[in-house]
Amino acid sequence: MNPAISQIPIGDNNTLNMILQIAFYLFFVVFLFYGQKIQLYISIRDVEKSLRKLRYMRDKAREIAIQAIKEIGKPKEDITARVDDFLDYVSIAPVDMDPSGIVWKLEHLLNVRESRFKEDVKLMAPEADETQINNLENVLEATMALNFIYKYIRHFYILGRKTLSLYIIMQLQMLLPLIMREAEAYTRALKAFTMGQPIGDGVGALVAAKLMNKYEKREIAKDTVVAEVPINGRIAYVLKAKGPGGNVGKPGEGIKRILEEKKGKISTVIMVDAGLKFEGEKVGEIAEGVGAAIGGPGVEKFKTEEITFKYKVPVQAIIVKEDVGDAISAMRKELIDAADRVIERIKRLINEKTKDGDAVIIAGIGNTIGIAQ
Amino acid sequence: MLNSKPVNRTFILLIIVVAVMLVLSLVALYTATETYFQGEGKTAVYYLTLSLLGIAISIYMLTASRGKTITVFEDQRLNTILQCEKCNFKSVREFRKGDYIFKRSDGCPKCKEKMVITAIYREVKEEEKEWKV
Repeated sequence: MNPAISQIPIGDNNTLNMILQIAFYLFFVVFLFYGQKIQLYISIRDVEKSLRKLRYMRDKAREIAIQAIKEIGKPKEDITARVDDFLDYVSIAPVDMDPSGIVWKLEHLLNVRESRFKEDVKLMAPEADETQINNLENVLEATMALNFIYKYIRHFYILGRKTLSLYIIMQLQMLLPLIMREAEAYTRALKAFTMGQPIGDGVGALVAAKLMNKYEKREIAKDTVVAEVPINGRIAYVLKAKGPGGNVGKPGEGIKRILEEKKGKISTVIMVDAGLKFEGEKVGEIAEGVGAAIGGPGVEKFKTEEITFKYKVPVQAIIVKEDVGDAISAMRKELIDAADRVIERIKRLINEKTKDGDAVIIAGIGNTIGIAQ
Repeated sequence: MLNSKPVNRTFILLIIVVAVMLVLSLVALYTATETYFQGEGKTAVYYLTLSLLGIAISIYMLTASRGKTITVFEDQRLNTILQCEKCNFKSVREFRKGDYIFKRSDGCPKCKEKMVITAIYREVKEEEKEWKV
């Protein structure tokens, strides 16, 4: 043996055994008293890694947003500070101690928020047209969401470190896989919004667009268009958000106005929307049912339910299943294919549930970015 | 608002620890072979175990610390389908900025009419793992 190495004291069997025994006891004592702390530090490290990733996503998103505004809007001054202010924009929900009338308050708040957003984007991007303003607004909203997620996770991370609370850190660690999925979805959405590409959420709007494409359209509510389309001897009032800018329109208000125009003489309302799939289900699977198929803060859903209840009109729902990631990233081929299958289902529903000469409403719900009409 | 830390001291410390552990593991491996050829089989096994354990921990620490590439910002390939309303000719090309569904775009190579974009989509290649439950 190399003499230098042979002089290492652990060459002797007894010495080695002694070292191993001491190491074992040491480990035992350390884990007995510091086990929880070690676990805490392992969890902190895990959260830290995700937090770094979130910070990177937020920074990159901000960079993309600023770049897009500069490229499209050609601002005359530096908009960086303005974008940073925009990312921390807050909307304070109305008080719900007395819930009566809260929907209208919420609607007012959302309207104010929307117009304020549009005005701010117009100021930041003076040369952008209406479609581009809508798209830029979507880009900024996705960046805002990433900024919020990052700050929220950072808040609990710092709180956990300050208090050295295993429970705060572990809750965070357990939730992080789901939060990261959502953050990644927003990050993917940015690209689609910047380029004006159709997103998965727009599958309902795509169905409506395919039905109304060759017919005359009119604006029935803010950013919402409707066309009278003859289908199998019935008149279908097909409505969707006005595209191709990123926009969800006001479909609930649209349905309300059509029903009021027709004095309730509508046989059925068919709503088509994207819905979250369960794990194990395939993207583009279609589910049918009843009820107002529309997400969001609930104002449009409330309006649809109120007016259809008033005139006792049945509401049919068609849901196209997709993942949260698919919903806000560029539309997958499966969803394009699903749109044609949905049209077949609509025709079948109309044949089964209505008679010749009846009028129906078909509402394609979702963000219509990249989809005209 | 958005400052990032330029120096990561933990990472440097980690590299030093891993380097020391690797050197010790290699010494242990060398000792293991030496002692084995000297006929001390039992001691050789101790050294070999120590050495392999050290190498495994070093590799684990290195791979665990390696930052994963964030792929969500990578460009996705999107297809645009165009259809001629007159002769039904269909063509597929890569998505271009400004494309949207129902936009009248490129001219039809057959009848020179403007073609309409009928679909814009991305194809997801990786197969999702099927859970047989």
